[in-house]
Amino acid sequence: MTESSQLLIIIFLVILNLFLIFIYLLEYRRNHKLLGISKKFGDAERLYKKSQESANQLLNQTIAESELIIDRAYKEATMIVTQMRKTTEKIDSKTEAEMQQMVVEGKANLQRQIDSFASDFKATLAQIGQNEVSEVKTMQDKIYQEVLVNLNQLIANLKSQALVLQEQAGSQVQAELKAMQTEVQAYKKQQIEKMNANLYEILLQAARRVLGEGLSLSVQKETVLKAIDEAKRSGMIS
Amino acid sequence: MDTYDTFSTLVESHHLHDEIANLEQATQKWINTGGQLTGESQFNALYQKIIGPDAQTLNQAEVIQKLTNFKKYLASIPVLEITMAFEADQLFKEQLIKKIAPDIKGPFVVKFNTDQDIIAGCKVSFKGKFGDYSVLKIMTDSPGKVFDDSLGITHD
Repeated sequence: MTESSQLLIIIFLVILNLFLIFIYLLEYRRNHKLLGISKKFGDAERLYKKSQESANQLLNQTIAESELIIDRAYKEATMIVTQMRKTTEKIDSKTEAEMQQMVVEGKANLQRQIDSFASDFKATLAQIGQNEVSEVKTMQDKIYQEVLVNLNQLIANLKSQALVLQEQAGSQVQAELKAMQTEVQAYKKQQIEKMNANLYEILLQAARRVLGEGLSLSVQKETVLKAIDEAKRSGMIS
Repeated sequence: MDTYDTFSTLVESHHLHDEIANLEQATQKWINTGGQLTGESQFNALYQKIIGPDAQTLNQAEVIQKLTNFKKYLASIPVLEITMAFEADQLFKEQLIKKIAPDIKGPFVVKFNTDQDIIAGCKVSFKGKFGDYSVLKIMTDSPGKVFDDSLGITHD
């Protein structure tokens, strides 16, 4: 083997090593990059779970608070109806309006409470959003949208429940009004009968005076004679 | 008792009772004085009617017995009560008695009352029976017809 051949082989080996080193470097670089991405994905999963937990927590809290509000509003409405029953005679349009207003205010309070929860939830998500990972932001938006949908659904349900509550209160008021109308009708009938009886007595007194004074003696005598005839016909006098 | 079997009014019968009482007193006085009577009551027309024409032949016990029996007889006579809305005059009372008498067997006494509240007509009571034939009764029995119709009152 000549010196030139040996040189060529050495050069070839060197080039091969360099190529292998290059390949290794390329592979190392690619692996390093993948590890970084994987780490970032792990962070994203934790943030996602954290966001989801916060969202669930807020949702549960919202639902619990909302149920309390509904329960309180229902009790208040029931209390009003009960009080109204005790003082049925005093019920008027003002009482009914106040009751309706209370239901409406309860509904408004409910809406404000839910808006407050939504605001808190936004703030929590904003803190999570300070992370610069773009995937997290995507997930954050996704979670936010889901929660927003759920909240809207919840609000819709609560509105529906509030309407049902309002209708129940309204129907109770109607029932009370109907019962009151029945009582009024009975009272009216009783008063009419009483007035009629009084009127009859008054008219009777007037009739006694007017007829007694107005009938001539001849008519009085004729009436008595007719009465005697009637008494004889009925067998009274025998 | 044969001569007195009817009396027009209760007042008359009361008067008769009074007369009988006077006769009793006179008879007692006649007895006490041994037949030396003065005055007119003891032999008035009523006395003659009750005791009869043989009054002078009766002894004192018989006279008193006759008077007592006559009082009992008067008390047993049934009373017909007629209540009217006005004070009837004597003529109308007699008219009523004549109208009634044919329907009643035996003697009877009529008592007239006045009650303006009955308005017109009369109420009759006789031998435990009572009949109201007054205008007040008619009005009371059917007030709805008398008053409500005229006033346009309707009942639910």
